[in-house]
Amino acid sequence: MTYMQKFSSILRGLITLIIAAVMLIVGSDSYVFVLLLLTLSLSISGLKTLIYYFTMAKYMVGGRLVLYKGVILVDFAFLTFSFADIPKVYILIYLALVHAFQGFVEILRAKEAHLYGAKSWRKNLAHGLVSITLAVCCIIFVRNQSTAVIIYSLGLMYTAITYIAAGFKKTTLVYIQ
Amino acid sequence: MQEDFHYYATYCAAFLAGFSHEESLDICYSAQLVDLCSATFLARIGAPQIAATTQLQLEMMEARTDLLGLQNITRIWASFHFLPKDLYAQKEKRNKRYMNKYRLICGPNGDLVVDTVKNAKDTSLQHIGIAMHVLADTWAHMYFAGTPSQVINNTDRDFFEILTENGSTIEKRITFRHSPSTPDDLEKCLYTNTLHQGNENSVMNLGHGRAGHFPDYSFARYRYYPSWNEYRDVYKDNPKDYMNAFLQMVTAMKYLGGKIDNFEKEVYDTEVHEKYGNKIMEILEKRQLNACEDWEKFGEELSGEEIPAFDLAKYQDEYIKADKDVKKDTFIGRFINGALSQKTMVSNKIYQSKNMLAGFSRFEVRNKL
Amino acid sequence: MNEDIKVQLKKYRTNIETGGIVLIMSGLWGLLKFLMSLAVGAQTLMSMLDISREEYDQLRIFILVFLFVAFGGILFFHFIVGLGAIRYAHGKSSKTRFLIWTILLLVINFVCLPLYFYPTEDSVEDSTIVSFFVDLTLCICLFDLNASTIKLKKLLKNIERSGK
Repeated sequence: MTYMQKFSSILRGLITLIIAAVMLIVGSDSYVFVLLLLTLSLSISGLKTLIYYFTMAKYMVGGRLVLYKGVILVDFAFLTFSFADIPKVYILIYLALVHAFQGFVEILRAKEAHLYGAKSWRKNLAHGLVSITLAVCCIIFVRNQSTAVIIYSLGLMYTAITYIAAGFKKTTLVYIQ
Repeated sequence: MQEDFHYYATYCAAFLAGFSHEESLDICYSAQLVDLCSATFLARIGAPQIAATTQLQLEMMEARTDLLGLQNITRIWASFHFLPKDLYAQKEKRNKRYMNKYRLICGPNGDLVVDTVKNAKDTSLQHIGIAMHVLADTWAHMYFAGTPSQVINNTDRDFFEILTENGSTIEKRITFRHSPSTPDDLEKCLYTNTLHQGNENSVMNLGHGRAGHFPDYSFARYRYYPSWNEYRDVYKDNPKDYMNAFLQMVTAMKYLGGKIDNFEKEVYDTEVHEKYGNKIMEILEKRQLNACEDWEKFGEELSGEEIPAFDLAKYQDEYIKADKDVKKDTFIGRFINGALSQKTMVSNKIYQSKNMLAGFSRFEVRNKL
Repeated sequence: MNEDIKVQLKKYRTNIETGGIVLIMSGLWGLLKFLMSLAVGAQTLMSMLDISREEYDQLRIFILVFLFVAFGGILFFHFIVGLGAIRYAHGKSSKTRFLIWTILLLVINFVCLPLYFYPTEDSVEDSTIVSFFVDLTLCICLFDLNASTIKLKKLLKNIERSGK
């Protein structure tokens, strides 16, 4: 990793840590904030996909699928946004499900990495299992919202620590002139 | 291309170009080493990882695909395995981002091939070997780019192998599956490729990953639709292309050995073609996963000497045990110098064409180590 | 065969295949959205059907069975029509029966588009604009699929005729 990449990883970790701390302090009112962040993230992803289609994938054989994928992502983002004014327990379930899905994707990545013999499969598998476990715990304790908030915040802290650890990991810097 | 061509066929071409048996061995060893000289290998022997000429699959899985990561990937793959054919290619109604990737499409007889060969003049046998690897790969890997790109390197289900059965030509649809540990099945036309990834910069979309190992088989004749070709198919005749690669290598090595004055594009050694063309075509067309045995036999017939099997550990001790100031004179030291020179030259040319995909490059470096 | 004709054939087949995939995905996505809105969103079945709590409790099983059958049917319909298009694109079938249904779907979707500009009191407004664009995109996709199918049929007929 270069210094820029390390810095970016550490920064990402710190921001995630701050969000986790805010959630712990503010409590169940912070759900809406997290939901908005998720909406923003999905919107950006959807818009990026649409821009990618119009600038690049339009010329690709079978590129139309990229357009439709982008539209669905934006739709998903706004669907998420529409959940902001509903009972908090449902927001927590929704966030837990999204987390569980991300955990599932990490496990698939771990399987892929293992196929190729990459050492990162252990890390990906750990992330995936932790995400799914946390999501399940959130749903189990959903009636006791303060417990659920703590569990979710712990999940975010774990993610933050992995980003920060990745930033401080010793890697070789490669330059060519 | 694979070991059968990079090691054994390069030996044959070097010998036919006038190099001695020992010189040919050094050249072909270096040509094959390009496919194995990864950062992991270099780290293990205490060599500078900047000289990596390839990336192992597990390195690719862990490679970052942000801007800097992509530049590192592109520098390696475009310099050694997917030499761009035309860095100034034009295409209508395309933006800069698209054109940067389009211009990295590999193909034979581009200006960079001439630069690669001339860059190896009056250097070392190791550098010649590297140049021959790069030259050969321009034939095998044409139509793919050495940068992760879905819009350039993707393929679809319409991928057909052209076979001759009972005297007639037939097309058989190739089935790709994602199973890296399972060998390719020639009988059932079952080959392994990389998983489809919708992400433009995914490493799964690097080079000919989406076509698996198939383009590296010398017997393969196939038709498919490259992502960039506006729904036009291309027909690839590997036996013919590999023959051209072989003959062009002979010409290049005649130039590098001082037997001819110049190296130009689209010049193939006719003398070798007349004398050995049929024998070589027989090896190339034989339907087998690995043609090492046939090429080895041919090489030993030519020189009358034994060609040892490729051994990655052969020169490691020499490099590890050498003092710092004499490392550059070891086999691997000279290889590293050649690799750095090639990488810098190509990265610089890409940068000069106002394409930042290989990163920022200030000047060409020779004999840096 | 002429190079341009080959290009057209490939293009139309790819468009039809893409349309088939999108049709299947849109069925799945529509169902998923409806279920998510019910489970997590502000609307409830009662507000959608405009019935009281007591009426809902009486008719609950019937409503749920009806919804299950209706959505199952819609999903199955999308899947069969989409699969028909994909099979035609791959050359595994020469039947274009799916065309009737895709034209019908296109007409229905297109006719319903203006309704987005006349929102009812209970409609959720936050995602209305995006839903409009999603349906508009689906219309474009269906139009593309239908046009490509018709053009491909014509092209194949011409090839057959010139072959004879």
